[in-house]
Parts: sequence; C-alpha cells; structure tokens
Amino acid sequence: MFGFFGIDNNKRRKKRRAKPANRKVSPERQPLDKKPVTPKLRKQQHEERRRKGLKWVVGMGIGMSLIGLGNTAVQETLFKNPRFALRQVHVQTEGMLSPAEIIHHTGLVTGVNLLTVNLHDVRARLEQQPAIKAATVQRDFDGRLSVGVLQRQPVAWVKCETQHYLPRSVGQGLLVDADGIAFPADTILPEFQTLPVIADEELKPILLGQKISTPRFDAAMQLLKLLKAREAHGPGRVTSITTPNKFALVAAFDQGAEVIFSHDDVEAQIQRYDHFLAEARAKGWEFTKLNLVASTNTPVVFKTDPAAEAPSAILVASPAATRKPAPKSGASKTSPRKSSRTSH
Amino acid sequence: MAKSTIYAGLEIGTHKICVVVGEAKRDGAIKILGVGQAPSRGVRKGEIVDFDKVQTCLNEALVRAEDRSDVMIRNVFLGVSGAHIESLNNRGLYRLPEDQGEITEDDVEEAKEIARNVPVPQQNVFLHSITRQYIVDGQEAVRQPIGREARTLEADYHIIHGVRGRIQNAIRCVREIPLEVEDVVFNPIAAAQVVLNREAKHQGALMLDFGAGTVDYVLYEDGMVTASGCVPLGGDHITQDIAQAFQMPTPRAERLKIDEGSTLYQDVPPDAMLRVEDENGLHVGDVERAFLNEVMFLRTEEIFGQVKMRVEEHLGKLAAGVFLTGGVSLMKGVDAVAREVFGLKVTKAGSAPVSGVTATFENPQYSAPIGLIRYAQILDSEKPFLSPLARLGRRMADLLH
Repeated sequence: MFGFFGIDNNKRRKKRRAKPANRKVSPERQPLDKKPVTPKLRKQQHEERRRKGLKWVVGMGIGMSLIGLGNTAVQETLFKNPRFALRQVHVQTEGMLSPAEIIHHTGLVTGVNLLTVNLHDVRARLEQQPAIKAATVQRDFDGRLSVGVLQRQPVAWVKCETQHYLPRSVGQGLLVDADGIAFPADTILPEFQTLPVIADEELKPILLGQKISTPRFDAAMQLLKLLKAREAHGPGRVTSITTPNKFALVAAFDQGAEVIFSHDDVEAQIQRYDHFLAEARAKGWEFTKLNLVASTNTPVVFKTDPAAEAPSAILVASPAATRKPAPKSGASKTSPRKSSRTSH
Repeated sequence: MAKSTIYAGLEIGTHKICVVVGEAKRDGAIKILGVGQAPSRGVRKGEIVDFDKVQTCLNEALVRAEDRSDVMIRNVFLGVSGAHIESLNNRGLYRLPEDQGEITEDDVEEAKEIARNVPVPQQNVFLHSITRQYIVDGQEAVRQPIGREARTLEADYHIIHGVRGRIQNAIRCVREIPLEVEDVVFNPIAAAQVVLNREAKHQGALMLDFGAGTVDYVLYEDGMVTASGCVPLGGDHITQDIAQAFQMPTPRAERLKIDEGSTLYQDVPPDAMLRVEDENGLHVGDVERAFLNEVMFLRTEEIFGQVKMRVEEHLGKLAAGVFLTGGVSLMKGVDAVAREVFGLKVTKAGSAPVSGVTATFENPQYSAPIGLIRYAQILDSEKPFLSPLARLGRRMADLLH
C-alpha cells in the first residue's frame, strides 16, 4: 500500500520503530594505562625483537648443525659400523622346523645392523608361525643373534576328508599338539609316521595356530591322552580315534583291537577300561573289540575262543560283577549283541 | 614454611629516588630485602619534568636495590605525588527493588558505581576509590552489607584523582627503564599503611609526609580515610629561602639546613653566629643562627598552615594527633612548629617495625616506599583466590587481547 507521497506506509512504520532509545552521551572516563608504549619503548621493543630473532636464528643454526653432526656421528659409529652388522644367527630348537626355516621366518638378512633390529618384531614374527610355541631373541654384539625356538610337539594327525586334511601327507597334513593347537605338517619327520590319527568328518575349516575346539574333538584329545598313558598295559599303541557317529569314539590299536567309548564321561569309561585290562591280564584274555558305551554289561569280542576255559563275554562294569559261563556258540567274530551277557 | 612474594616499591621523590625490595609472607610479615637510593634530578614538586635525568637516577637506584637485595626487579609499585592530586568523599545511594529482601553483591556494585560518579575534570583519572563505609538504612559504619535486609544502601567512598597525563608520564618514564608498573599508589596512602597503626586510625590521625618538594597528607577518622592530598611546598622551599636570605648557593644552603638548621629561633641568643664553609672547608662567611632558624620557621609554619587550611574541619576529631614522616621530618624543631600550627600532639614516625635492617624502617625517609610494599601485600591478599586453571585461563585471555 502506498501513501500520499508514494512512500510505502509499511516502510515508514519500520523507520519509526527504528528510533534509537535514550542513552548517555558523556564519554567514558579513560582509565589509567599501566602499560603505555612510548617511542623509546617501541624502539626498545623493536631492538629486543630483532635481538631475539637473531638469537633464534643463530640458535636454530647451531641446533641444526649439532643435530646434523650428532646424526652423522651416530650413523658412522653405530649404524654403519661393520662391528654391529649381523653375521650369524644362532638357532637353538628341536622339532619339525629346521634352523634354516626359522631364520627365514625371522626375516633377517646378513649384514643388517644389529642395533636397528627390533627384537620384539622378530620374536612376534616367529611366534606368528603355527608350529612355533614360543621364541626368544637375544642380541650378541659380536655380530651374532641368538634365537631360541620352542616348537609345538605333535601328538596326533587330524583327518577330515571333507576339509582335505589328510594324515601323513605334506601340504595337506595337519598336526595337533597336546593343547589341541593345529599346525601344518610342512615336513614329515620319521617319528610323525607313527602318530595316531584323530578322524572327525564334522570339523569346520581350522585356523592354523588356533585350538581346535569342538566337544567331540576335545573328547577325542582327552581320550588319546588317557589311552597313551595306558599303552604299556593295553592292547598296544593307539593308531587312530574315529568318530563314526554322534555319540561314539572308536579307538583303534596297532594289534588290531578296537575300543568304543562314548563322548560323555570319558574318565568313568577309562576306569572300566582299566578294570577290564586288569582282568584280561589276570586271565590271559586277548580281545578284538570292547564296547565301553554300555555302562553295566560290557560287550567284548575275544580274539580266540575262550570256551574251553572261560566265557566269551564277561562283565567288567563293576569290580563286584559275577561271572557266568558264555554260550558255547560264541565265535571269535560275534557281534556284541550276539555275545552272552551276565547281569548283576 | 609460608609462601612469600617479593615486591618492589618505587618512589620518585624531589630529593631522592628510592627503590625498596621487600618480601611479604602469607602470615603478614614483611622483610625488607634491600633499599636502593639515588639523588633525584629532573623532578620538581614531586613530578617528573625531565625523563632522561630521572631515568639515569632511577637506573642507579635500581642497580643498588638489586645488588643489595639479590633480586632481579622486573615490576614495581609506583608511588606518585603532585599538586594535581586531589581527593573528595562521595556517597552513592541505591534503593533496593521492592521485591528484594536482602542486599546482594550486585546492589553493592551499583551503589559503588553511583558513588564513583563524581564531577571531576574529564582529564582526571581515579587513582584510588577507597570504601570508607556502607550505610544500610541509615545505619553507619557497616563493613559488610551483603546479606543484610534493607531498603537503601549507601556506599561512602574516598576518591583520589589526578591529572591523567601527569600520572601517565610517570608510568611511561618507569616503563622505559624498562620496568613493569604493577600499580600506581598515592604516596601518603602507602606511607600511612606503615606509619599509622590501627588504633591511631580509629582515634583519628593526620599523617604528613614532609618531603623535599611536597607535603603529602592523609587524614583518618574512625578508621576511615577522610581526607588526603598534596601541598606543593616542601623542604626545598626552605632551602631556597635560606639561599635567598643569606645569598648563598643552594647546595650550601641545603647543607646548612641539615647540619645546623632548626625551626626553634626564639630561645637562640642574638649574637650566636654560624661559620659557613665552602666545599673545600674554606671559611666563606658567618650567618646569624637566630635569623636562619626564623627563616626556616616561617616557611615551615606556612607549609603546615597550607595543610591545616585543607583539613581544618577535621582537626577536632584527631585524638591520636599528627604523625610526621618523610625526610624533612628529621629537621630540628619541625614537630614544635606542627604542634603550634595544628594544636595537636605531634609524633615523628618512621615505618612500624618490620624485618630487615633497622636503620631502614626507622628512617622516616623510607616510609612511603616501605608502605608501597605493605600496600602491595594488602592488595594481593584482597584479590580473590583463583585456581591454577583459572589463572591459566586469565593469562591466555590476556595474551589474546
């Protein structure tokens, strides 16, 4: 809307609103300046700044020169000194990896300055190897580096065809130590040939250097440990532990015997196994198959027919178990179901 | 062990430039570490007239003070004087809002602001605004009004002001040494901190700092500063009178005044003569002792008369009497003249005892610079406590500005 003189009324209203409020007009009393700057002072400050600048430049120059000199001196006396060059790596180890392989894993080359070698890094590089349990690295200042390596000692082969883990083969062989840590068999030493095989087709892909941790495999490892301790009194050396189904572990021995365990409560089954072994030793029995899954009546298949002097099956579940004569029809290859049993 | 702070007080006087270095401890004790003094040149009636000469003398005094105290002096409390410095008392009344019951810090600030709004010349600057008392609903002498229930609050202020340019020039002169000026203090205010005790201030006392160029005074009533100022007459005027009366050079007149002069002339035999010698010990003439003393008396009486004229209305309330300090207070008979002029008990006083060389604080010449140390200590103790973080913040803000 435009007014009489063509001025927008709204604008006029705005102008009226912008009228300033009353305010004091007396100038502020100037306070005392305790830091006035006079021409002489200005000159002094300028001189001071110039002096400071000069001092700074000279100081920087001297500092840089000193740093340069120091750097050169350190380089010449320490880092480029052939006295500190690596000439020999002394490896102390025992196991699958040879000293040459271990040196290769350290990443060190001859001639490198020993002072620049980071021992923590070298140790870390070594301990990254799945076959190495622990390592120590020590710097000797006569051009020598001492490396001590504790390698993992395998206790069994791992077999899992679905994951292509094949025992006693280079490249596809996988070993485990007593802690259940898996590592590849890059070299097969003669003593590895006789190691038992733990077969588990349900295994997932395994990370090298990590523990294989499934309930079944753990039970197999525990069983292997317990059976190895009883090798002198049992039916020979354990050659394999297999997992034919979800509840059983089958331990095979080099003399042809097989013992069936369940996954659960291996300790109790081992007690029964010990009791059976004692009985067998006392009676002079030899068996081909023993099923410890059954907790009370244990089916046994004997190697020879003990009909003449002994029953074909005995109860070993309890030390107090009474023995009854086995049926005469029992042959050496009778199945546990077919073998006669004695009950409490 | 109490933490201590080292302060330096600088007085640029007409006769001497004096730097006092003192250590103020947290328990309130002061120890004088050293005094540096040099004869003053380039100062007239307490004000700097020649920068270069003053700076030369100041450097000399500074070096001596640093040598004696083993302190590197970088900042000082500067004592100033001069005829341009005047004072007045003013009250600011603030009426509290109806809905407000008790006095707050803001109310006190408001009352102070009103009290400070005094009609002084535009070129003047406030040197000190000293709170004398607060009056709460008519009740006088209230020291701490915050938290009291009241309707009106009055702030009673003693304001000391001077010509900005003149004070600023003193600061500029010192800054060119180079020294930082921590604060500028009117000399008698500083001197009173060590010359007058609390009792004397309460009883009522007039302190006169009788210097070579000026007589600075401060008057206390009921423990409050009531009047202060500067009379631009001093010991140098007495010397000038002697020089003119006996027609001798000023240095010789000065020596005669100090060595033989007195303001007591009535009991002096008329035939008593004084032998006057030059710098080499040669006899140059004789002067009448009675005449010399009379000359000195007349000028001293005039100077005290000038002071009396300014504080006459308060003289009846000064139970503690007059305290004389400053270099000229050492002049013989000066107290008798003061007693005659003011009609009050007169005490010649130096600084109150502090740690350090006894001769320093007993000498009334050093009252003002020692007082500067005490003033600095009081000022610091009144500063609000700041945490190290807050101090750092403030320093950063200062740097940014």
